[in-house]
Amino acid sequence: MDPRTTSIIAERAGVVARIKRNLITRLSLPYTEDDLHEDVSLLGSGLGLDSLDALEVVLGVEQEFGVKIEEGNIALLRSINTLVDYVLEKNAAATAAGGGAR
Amino acid sequence: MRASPAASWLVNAGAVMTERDGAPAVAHYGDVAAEVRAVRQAAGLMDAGHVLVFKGTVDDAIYPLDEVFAGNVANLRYGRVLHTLLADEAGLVVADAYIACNDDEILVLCEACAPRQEVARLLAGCPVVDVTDEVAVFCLDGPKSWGPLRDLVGRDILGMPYLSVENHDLDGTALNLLRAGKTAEFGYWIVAPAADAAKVHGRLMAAGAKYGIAPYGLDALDLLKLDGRFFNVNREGRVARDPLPLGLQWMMDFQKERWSGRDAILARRAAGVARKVVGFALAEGLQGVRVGDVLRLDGDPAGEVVACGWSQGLGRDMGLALLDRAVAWAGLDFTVDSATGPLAATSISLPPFVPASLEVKLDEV
Repeated sequence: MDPRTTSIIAERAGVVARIKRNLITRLSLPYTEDDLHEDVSLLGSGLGLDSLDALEVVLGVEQEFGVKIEEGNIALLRSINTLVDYVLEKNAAATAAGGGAR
Repeated sequence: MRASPAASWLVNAGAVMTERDGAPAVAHYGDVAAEVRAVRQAAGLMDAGHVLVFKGTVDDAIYPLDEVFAGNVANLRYGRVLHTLLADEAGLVVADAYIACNDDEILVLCEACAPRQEVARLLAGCPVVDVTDEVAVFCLDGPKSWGPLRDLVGRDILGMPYLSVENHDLDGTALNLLRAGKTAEFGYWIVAPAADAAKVHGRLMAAGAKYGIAPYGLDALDLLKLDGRFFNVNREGRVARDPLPLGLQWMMDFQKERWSGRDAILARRAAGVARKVVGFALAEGLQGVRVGDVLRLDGDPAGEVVACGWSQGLGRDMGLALLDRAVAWAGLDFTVDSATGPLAATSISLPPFVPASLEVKLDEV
């Protein structure tokens, strides 16, 4: 596999694993990390999180990755993957600005 | 082929009919793109003549259904709807189902990728009656879908939580109203007596005119499910029948001791899933991907297309691919071996757009 592909996968897989562990622990989900598809919907159909759960997810991501999620930005919670995209974007921006990503 | 109660009336209204598992269903009304746009921006109404409907009483049917369906039916509370799946003994998907606990009645609404007889066989031990031919099912979807319903049956419908069910009356016609849908927008499934199908459809269309409602068919629904990331039992479900690679674990309760297909699915789960379904988008301007086309990563085969179509939200062709697990990640550049030559594609996060309904606050309308 191309080294660039390997690097993209490794970076994404790391963030995915941390978010999944966070979800399972904070929400006491009856699933393993493997059970959670990255595109599963967090709101509505899918995991069906309510507003309190959503707040818990936002707090978890903010603490885990040191990023800030704007209040009311529920669009980020469309799926695990959309949350991951947000964290990766923030990390890339922080790295570009000279800061370190967690 | 069984008759849809609304079929003849819909053909007169311009519907082009198709067949899905022996049931007549509306394919489209002549402009699929306009139908998708109506659902994404306003409201759309579909005759879901392909949906199989079973009824029973809660007292008699809830535990037998729990032993067949993958989700936890036994824990279903009054007034709520469970979105789950029905698998056969081999643990392969047969139907995507809503189970509604409606006072003392239980309603089962199945979109199946198998013949009606196969669904009936799997439900043979459950005291439910197949009422498919006695009812009409309509899907009302879109960020303004609440509008015509509020105007026809009252403001109470605005308070319905997602995956709930209520009984309503429309000028003497009893309706089972489910707050549900598979388009990523607000949605309602409406179950009415077959004899009143044309009346209910007509009233909803008339009331929806000021909200921009349009009738839509299965061709549009397939595209709405695709970029809304709703499982489509008749597209990817028909190609990849195993619910684990399809990412349907959330529809199953692995703690339950009995349900159809449980042992086979748990064995595959314990062995580890070797492939996963991932979304991909073609580079802008490209098209021509078909189900079965091979995706390559760095020149090596990585999987194949299981569903594809035009995404209005993305403004390009997209699809779902069943990929080897090691490369089943968003953000990778693939090529698709299409009939017209190699096409550039990127794996993407789903859903790839923000549905308009997420911006609507029903308590403020």
